[in-house]
Amino acid sequence: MSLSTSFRSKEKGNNQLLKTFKDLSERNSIFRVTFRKAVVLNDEQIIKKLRSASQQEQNDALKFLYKEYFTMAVHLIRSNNGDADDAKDVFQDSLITIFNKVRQPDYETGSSLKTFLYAVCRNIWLKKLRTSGYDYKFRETQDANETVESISEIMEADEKQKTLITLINNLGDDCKKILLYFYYEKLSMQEIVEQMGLSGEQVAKNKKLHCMNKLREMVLSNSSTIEILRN
Amino acid sequence: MILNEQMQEMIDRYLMGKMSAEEKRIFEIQMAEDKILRDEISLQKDIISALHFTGNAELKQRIAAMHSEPHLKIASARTANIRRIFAIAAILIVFITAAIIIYYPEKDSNDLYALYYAPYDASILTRGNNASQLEKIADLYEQNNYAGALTEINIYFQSVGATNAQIILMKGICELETGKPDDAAESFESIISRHDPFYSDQATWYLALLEIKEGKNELAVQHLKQLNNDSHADHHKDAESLLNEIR
Repeated sequence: MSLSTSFRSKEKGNNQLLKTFKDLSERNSIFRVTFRKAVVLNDEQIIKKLRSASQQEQNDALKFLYKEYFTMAVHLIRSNNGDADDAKDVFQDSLITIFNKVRQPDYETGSSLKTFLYAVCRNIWLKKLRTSGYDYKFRETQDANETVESISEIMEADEKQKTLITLINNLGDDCKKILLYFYYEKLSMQEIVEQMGLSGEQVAKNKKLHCMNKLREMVLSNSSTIEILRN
Repeated sequence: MILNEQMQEMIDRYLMGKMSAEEKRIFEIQMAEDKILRDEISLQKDIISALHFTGNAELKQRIAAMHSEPHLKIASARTANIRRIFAIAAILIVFITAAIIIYYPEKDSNDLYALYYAPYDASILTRGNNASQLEKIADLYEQNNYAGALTEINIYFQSVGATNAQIILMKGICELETGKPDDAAESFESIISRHDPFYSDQATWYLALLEIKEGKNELAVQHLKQLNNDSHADHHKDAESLLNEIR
């Protein structure tokens, strides 16, 4: 290496060093802000928030789970023939599964949410690999002894369900909302009253009945829909 | 038929599993005798199932939106602590790297190859039919008995054909390790040419390393750029780092 090349190389190195220090200094200021704003939730608090009628509370818990455990999912999926996009899909589907499971009245806290989430991610990814024709020997990225049994996974909607979903989406916002609150989120009538700002439980009951009848009529007045439902 | 409140409440309690065993028994007797009720239950079961799909789809939209939120704002104290440790480690790495860049001569091809090369990890070997044969190959490979593994791979391919991209990749590594660079290049190229979704990136990476070792830097740069341009590719970061070294 000639003397001038050596100088140029050193100068380039020093400039790189200065730039990196600048970047790190900027990033460190973010770390300090982050540290002050940090929110730590334990499993009990997360479950309570996921079961809440308030979407804000639910979102807080989901965001916390996202922040804490997404990296775990990326590591798991990337160690088992997947990439970051696969990890994102699997992790988001896993959060939906956890949300639904935790909101079931018979849900019992057995293993930690972290173990539960790991098991759900693992099951969903393994199923996707097997669906693609891979008989796969899984590489665990953490202790999987506490395998969670009977995890209901997100299924693809069939033609019958797709037809009904279209009708639900055409039902009008309030009707769709009250049916989702009651049948999907399993909120009580009192919680529905609070969420929708209704004047009382009887009003909520009447509205829910009206919306269910409206949806049934939409289904039953369409002969092609009835045909699809019969098949 | 328009359902009244009492009937709808009964159907809800049945479909949502809120009836007592006795109530459920009586209701099912009623259903067995009444086709209209049976059809109504079937319809509402389908509606509830579709509401679940709708609810899940809306929840997925909410969760997907979280993915693009600035991550640091909702990081936990533990995560923040880990990041602090990483930040300190990063500073140390910067010092050490800077020292290497400034005071050490440039690496030659063999140095780069030795620095970046590590045999493909076959501990996640996909098994299906011929499991025992594949296990034998995997065992020899994991014991670094590359000559033995290569012999077994050739026997395996004679019986089932060279279709398994993962085994072709391992064959390429065995050929690299046993001093057969041309054969290795052919193995890696065969995976790349078939655009195998799982092993093309790995094959491209090892082919690039082989090209560096043989002084074919222009070819290596082309292959490394492919990996570097795809943020989801295996060895994406390695490729970026190696490209910087070559430049």
